[in-house]
Amino acid sequence: MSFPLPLRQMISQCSPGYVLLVFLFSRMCFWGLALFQDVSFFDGMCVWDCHWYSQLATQGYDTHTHSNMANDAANWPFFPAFPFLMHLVQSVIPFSMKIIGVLLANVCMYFAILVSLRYLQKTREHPAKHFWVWLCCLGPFSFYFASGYSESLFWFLGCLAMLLWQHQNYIRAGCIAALLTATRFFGIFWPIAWGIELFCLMQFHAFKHLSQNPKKLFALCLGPLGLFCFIFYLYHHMGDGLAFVYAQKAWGRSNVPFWQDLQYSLQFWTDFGPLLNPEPATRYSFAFFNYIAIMGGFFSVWLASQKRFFEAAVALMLMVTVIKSGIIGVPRYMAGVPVFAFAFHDVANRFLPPLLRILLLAILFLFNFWLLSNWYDSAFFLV
Amino acid sequence: MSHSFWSKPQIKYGLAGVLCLFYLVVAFLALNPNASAEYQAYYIDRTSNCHHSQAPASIAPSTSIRFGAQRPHQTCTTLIEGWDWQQPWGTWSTEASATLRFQIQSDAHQHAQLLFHVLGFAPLGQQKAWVFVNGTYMDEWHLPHENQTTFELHIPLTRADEQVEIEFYFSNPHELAWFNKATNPIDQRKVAMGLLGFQWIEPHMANE
Repeated sequence: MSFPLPLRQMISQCSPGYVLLVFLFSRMCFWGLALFQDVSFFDGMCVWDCHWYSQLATQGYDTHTHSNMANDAANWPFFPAFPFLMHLVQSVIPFSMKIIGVLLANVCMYFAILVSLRYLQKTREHPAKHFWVWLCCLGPFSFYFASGYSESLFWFLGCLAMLLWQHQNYIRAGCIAALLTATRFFGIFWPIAWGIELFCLMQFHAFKHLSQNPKKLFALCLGPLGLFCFIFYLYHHMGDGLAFVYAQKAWGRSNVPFWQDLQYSLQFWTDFGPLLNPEPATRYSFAFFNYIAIMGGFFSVWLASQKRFFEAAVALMLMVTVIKSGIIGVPRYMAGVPVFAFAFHDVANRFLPPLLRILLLAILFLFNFWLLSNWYDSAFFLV
Repeated sequence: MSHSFWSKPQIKYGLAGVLCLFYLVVAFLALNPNASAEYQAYYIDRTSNCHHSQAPASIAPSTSIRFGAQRPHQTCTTLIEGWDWQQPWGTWSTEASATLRFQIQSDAHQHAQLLFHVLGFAPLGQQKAWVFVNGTYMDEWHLPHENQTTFELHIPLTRADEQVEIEFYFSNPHELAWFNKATNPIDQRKVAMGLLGFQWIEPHMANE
């Protein structure tokens, strides 16, 4: 079978049109599985935190707690950029927040793939472009980017900030990082990791370098602006600027010292059985989280060994933060930050020939469909 | 003109300084929250199980206190320690002991006769609960396995509107995992007794 020349060029160059085709195909697959499971696509995609984002986009930040078993939950842990965007879109397109959240997340992810592809081409000698596009569209946990979650906006802004920094467009990168820190807490890792990268490359000369490069210095200072504005807002709104941290108590986070949680979860390496429980709310496995955390640790070390200091610093900070806040967050938080996907791409690209990469993708797609099927069931381990 | 203004390094240093100053002010505010005492104790200091200032449940003669998912505030005001999340029917004890606190609304009674509606969890045949009222041993209950039953408790009242604290100590709290009843490895509850509620009965009712 041979494609006409423009189509062949489109495919070989991974053009935006080709990415769009793959992206739409992946969403059709997600939609097909929803049909198969007799779930409405938008209902299936809008579970767990999606409802919080919808409520936040509709009503703004709470002034008092109102949900959960102990009535102690509020929407303070959710950062404002994504729900604010949902609110803006709804003022133009009068769909329900659930639909807008899902559509917006998908649009953001499409652009995130395009930007991340540019970043890969800029920072890697021979990136596996097709592998990357298919991995982003249909790889494990890719349904998080099709759901009404802020992950896809975070990917887009995170990759854009990294790309702009690579292009030495420091102030723009700083502005995007400021938006990133208003999207999710992990955005704060970007300016810190740029600082770490400078230090790794120049050691103590980095301070002199920064003092002589006002653009870089200003960009680094600009990055945390989104986070600090959010803290400032929360302080004025309900009296506690760190409510986004403390309110996580309502979800059982950090109720005991993290090392006790970790010590307990590290006792389990084979408890995969409950993942197949008929009751979705009881599907949970420490082993599942432990193995993914090990992969996260491996990718962090891999990135550092490749002297990709920025990416390694982000990955390491994320692993430490997530393990501190509870191992259940490991898969979602790792998927939500693009550096782990970059590391996975690098390892696959380096050690696997193209045919094996295709085989690997096929296995990963199947794994993702199993995860997605659990997602439609609202299985607890994907919360 | 504006371009040349913006390209001056001093402007960027100045703005970076302003941003750092703003961050310091916000950090100071974040470390000094202006929140209610209940919020501070529950979320920040973690010294309280309650995030609100609602009073513990109170019981008057011939009335009852029921537990269940419809009454989430009782989780911290009344079901003080050692209880699970509330189910539609009530709640399970999940530790070796469990504490209950409530107020008795009366200035005319010298004692209250309470009837407790409970469930037992005794897969190995024996489950006892030793009951202490305000630190004083009062009774021993034998809880039947997965059967609902009632127990009376006679509580002496020393003053009007007395606040009462009842502690249950269980002989054999069982981990659900031991009997293959845990749903997953995160389920570490040690179950002994389920509590549906209790009522203040008049003595003649107690004799029936």
